[in-house]
Amino acid sequence: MITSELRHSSDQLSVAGRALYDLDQVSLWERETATLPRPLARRRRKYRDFARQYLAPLVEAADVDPAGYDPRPLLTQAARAGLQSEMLPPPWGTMPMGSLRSRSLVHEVLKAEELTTVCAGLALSLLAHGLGTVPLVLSGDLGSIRRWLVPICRENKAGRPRLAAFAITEPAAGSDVEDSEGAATARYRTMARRVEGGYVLNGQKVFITGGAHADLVTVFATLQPDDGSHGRIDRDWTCFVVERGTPGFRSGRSEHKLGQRAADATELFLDDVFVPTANRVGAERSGWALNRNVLNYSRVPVGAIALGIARGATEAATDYCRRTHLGNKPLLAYQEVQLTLADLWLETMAMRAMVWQASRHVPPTQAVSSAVKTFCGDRAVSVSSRAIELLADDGAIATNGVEKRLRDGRLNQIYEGTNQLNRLAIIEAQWETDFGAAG
Amino acid sequence: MSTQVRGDLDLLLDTVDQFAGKAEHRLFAEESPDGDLEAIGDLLLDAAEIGLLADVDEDVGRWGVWGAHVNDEGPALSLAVLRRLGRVCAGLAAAVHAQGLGVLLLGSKGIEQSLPPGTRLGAGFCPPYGLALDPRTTQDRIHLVDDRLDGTARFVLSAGTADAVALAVHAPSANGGAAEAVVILPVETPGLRVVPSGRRVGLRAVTMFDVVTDGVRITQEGQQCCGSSPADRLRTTVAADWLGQAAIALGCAEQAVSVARTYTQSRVQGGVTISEHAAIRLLLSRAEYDAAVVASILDRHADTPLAHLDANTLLRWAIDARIAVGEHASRAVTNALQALGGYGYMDEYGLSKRLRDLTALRVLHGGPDQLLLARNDLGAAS
Repeated sequence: MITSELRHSSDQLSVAGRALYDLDQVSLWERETATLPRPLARRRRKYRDFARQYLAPLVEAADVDPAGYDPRPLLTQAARAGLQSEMLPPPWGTMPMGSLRSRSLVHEVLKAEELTTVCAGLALSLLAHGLGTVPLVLSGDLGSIRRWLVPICRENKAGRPRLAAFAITEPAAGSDVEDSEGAATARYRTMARRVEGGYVLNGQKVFITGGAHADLVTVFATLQPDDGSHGRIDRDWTCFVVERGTPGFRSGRSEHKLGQRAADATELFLDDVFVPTANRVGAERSGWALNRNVLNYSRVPVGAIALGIARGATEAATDYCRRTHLGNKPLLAYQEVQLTLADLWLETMAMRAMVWQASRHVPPTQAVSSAVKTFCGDRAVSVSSRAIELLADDGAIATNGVEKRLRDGRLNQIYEGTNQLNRLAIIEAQWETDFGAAG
Repeated sequence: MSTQVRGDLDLLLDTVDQFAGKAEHRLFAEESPDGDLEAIGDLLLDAAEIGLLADVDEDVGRWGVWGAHVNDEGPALSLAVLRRLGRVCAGLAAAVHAQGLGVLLLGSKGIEQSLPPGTRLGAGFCPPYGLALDPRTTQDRIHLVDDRLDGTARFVLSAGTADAVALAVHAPSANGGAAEAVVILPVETPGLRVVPSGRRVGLRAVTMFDVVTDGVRITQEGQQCCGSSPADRLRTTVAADWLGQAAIALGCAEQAVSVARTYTQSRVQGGVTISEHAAIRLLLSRAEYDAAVVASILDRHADTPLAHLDANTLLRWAIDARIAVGEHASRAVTNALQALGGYGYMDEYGLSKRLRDLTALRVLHGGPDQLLLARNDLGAAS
């Protein structure tokens, strides 16, 4: 609160002194938005408004009964709003000009934060589509971009959802496929065999976000070596587009999970699936590098998802403390409550500073992306845990909006490589420059 | 505790183990995030039959959780039972615990004549926000004025549907002084409403509700139940509540670590089972350390008869144990879950349920800052 004494005192400052002293009553969100280039500031408002209008009414139903929740209407609204075609600039897609000029991920992290602040599960159900298209972009393969990405953007811009998903994880290979050491020995079963005119794929994927509804999936498979050996993912991995409806390709069950429940985590089965050569994304055996770079690009927005979760928990806790009384005063009036709330806000601000800074690294690098993903995932859990504790018993009640944030945030310590693995990835990536050789 | 009593307790704990095994089979025969909650009613009947539930009849429920034995033998048995049940299902353990809290709050002497054996009780002592022990909540609690009750007690637990609620209420005296009272009311009492607490993150096997009183008239019978030393009984009940929660959380954490150990010894990554990876060894070792911290705190006075513990020592112990739920038991469960990676996050291994239950336990009947402030107000330990 700015007291009248402070206001009066500031009026006594010189003109220059007053100009250097900001006493405007502006929310933190507005202050931070004002630091963005104007096109991105507009985009941030748009994402926030979209989340409030279209995600908020669905949060409870999608969390309580994800199997009964129909995502199609939301996907259609998101497509119409241009949220599902931002991987290409106009005229093909809707990438904001600010991002195009800076070649940055800023709009992606703004979108992830704003959508996730309302609901991480619904946000993920939208964001997973972007992840599914990233291999197409990063392959640098103009053929794949023309064949797959341009039509995806065109359809979505027209309000007809056409969705992609990204498939690397297998039943016996989770973090293995996100780590060099694990990759060399991973028990990886999805194989590709070269045949006349294309490839035949066999195997199984698990925990594929968006797998239940995706129209096409970027599938990583080990290309059978010519010497008949089993092959290694770090040498033989290759990315393919597999379209829904392809004979032999089907989705299985969607897992029951702790949080982010509105976004499905689905099994995919490939039984003698033939894909033509044109469905190969990039060159044969380029999949390992492609996968690693996809993760470099995706882990920063994943950090922003964690940021949105923390912000959602913080805002819900603040709202609770505003409307709940202890004695004849609102909770907000008590010092111990203010101390905790301040911690929630400052942790969220620190996360945002890190996410925004990292989103300007072009191209993103393994160390920075893993650092953002890890730090923000851990902080999201910490912030939502403390928010629950602040609300005490009411923190465990679903309608107060914080327990879901903890359930949601817990996934951010696991997916896109566990946080343990991401910590090791920081060391691995900077070994030559900052750790081993530099020592 | 004498050798003879210890031997008898070991026999009782064997019975608890058998019951726990049966409960696990009944609840989790099929994959379901919270187990078959329809089975809870039958399991609680079994629990009452083998004497795990405390009872308004002191002889019937003497050896039940928080039964009369705690005054002579200490809470070790109750804590051991809750710990073992917590390994199977924290919500089931909380239901057994809840019945004991009701009996503790009433005090056995005052209720024998008014309630039949087997009465299911809920204990209501939580104001809408904060602790009943915190003087700042006084005006928010249920008030007893001119034989009328007005106000709300929140987050009342019971073992299935409650027949009656024991309420700790604020009863200002005619001369302006403040006092505590405990009243017992059947749930169908006119003016009393039982309002379910709503969808919550965990502990779904225990019944939880708010009690709203709006001009409830206290009968002569109800007043008899007020008994002596209600303030002491409130403190004892609150302390037992937090200790019991810590025991349940400990069992939950121990089982989570056990599941994670088994999983990590079968999952291969990098050519070896992941149990050999330093990251996993650190996670699980820390989880076991965290469980050991909770166990150590719970052991502090476990063999001391409650009647021999002064109120502040008891409360300080209980607060330490409950804070350890959030700081240690929760971390043990979350580390165990982490060791399973993506599979830990899915319902099928049961770790997600344990994390949800721990999330509920870490704030049940008090958040950590509320507890720390209360601990501070107790003064320095003697």
